[in-house]
Amino acid sequence: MPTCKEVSRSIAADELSTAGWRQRLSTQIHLLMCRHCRRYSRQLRAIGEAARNLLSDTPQDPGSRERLRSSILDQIPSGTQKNSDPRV
Amino acid sequence: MSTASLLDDPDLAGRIRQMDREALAAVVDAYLDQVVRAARGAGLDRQQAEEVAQNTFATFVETAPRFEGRSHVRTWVFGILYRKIQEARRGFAKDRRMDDIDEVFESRFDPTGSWSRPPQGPDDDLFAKEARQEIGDCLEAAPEQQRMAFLFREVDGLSTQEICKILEVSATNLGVMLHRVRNRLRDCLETKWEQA
Repeated sequence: MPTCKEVSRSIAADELSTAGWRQRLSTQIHLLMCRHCRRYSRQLRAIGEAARNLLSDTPQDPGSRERLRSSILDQIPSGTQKNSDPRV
Repeated sequence: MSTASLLDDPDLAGRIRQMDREALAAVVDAYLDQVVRAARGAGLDRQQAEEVAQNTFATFVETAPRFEGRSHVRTWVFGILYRKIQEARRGFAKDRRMDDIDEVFESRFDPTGSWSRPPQGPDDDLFAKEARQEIGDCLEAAPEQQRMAFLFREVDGLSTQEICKILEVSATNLGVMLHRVRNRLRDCLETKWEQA
C-alpha cells in the first residue's frame, strides 16, 4: 500500500494517468481509507476548477477580438488562396 | 467548409505548408481565443497579450512552409506562443532544480510517509469558493514556467506529450513542475485561509 506522501505526490504530478493498474488501484484504495489524502486530492481538483473559472471569466470584448483577428488575417499572403471567401 | 472540419482535413499539414489562406485562417480562428487567454494567464495585460497573439500568428504564418505535421498544429502554435511570452517577459524564470516548495511538501510528512501536518482548510464547498476568489493572486505568485504548465494542463486541457513539446521539457520534468505548482497554489490558499 502506498504512503500518503506517495499518493499525494502521484496525484499532484499527474502520474496516475500513465501508471499501471496496480498503482491506480492501490491509490484508489488508499484514498477510500485516508481522509487527509482525500481532502488533498479534492482541494487540487478545486484549484484546477478555479483556474478554469478565472480564465473563462475574463472574455475579450468582441470588437477588439475582431480587430485582432483581421489584423492577423491581413498578414496572410493572398496569392495561394483556394477560395475567395476564407470562411466558407 | 467549416473551421472545425477544415482542421480535421487529413491534408491540413500540406495545405498549411502551401500557405493555403483558407487553412491558415481556420487555424487562426480555432486558436485565437485560446492563445490570448494563455497569454493573459501568463501574467500579461490585455494589450501585451494581444501583441503576443499577433506576433505568434505572424510567426506561425512565416514558418508555415516548414510545418511538417508531425505534431498537432495546436502544439506548433502554442510552442510559438510560449517563446513569444518568454520574449515579452524578460527574465522569464524557468523551473529550477531546487525549489523551496519541495521542502514545504516534505515537511508535511513524518518519516514513514504519513501526514504529520495534514492539509488544512474549510470544507470542500467553502474551499472551492475561496479558491475561486483567491486563485488569481496565488497564480501570480507562482514561477512562470510552472504556471504555464499548470494552465496548459488545467485550462487548455493539453496532453502531457503536447505540453512537453511546447515547454521543451521531459515528462518527468513536467511532473515535477505540476507537483510544485499545485502544492504552491494549495499552500497559498491554505495560508490565506489560516490568516483570515
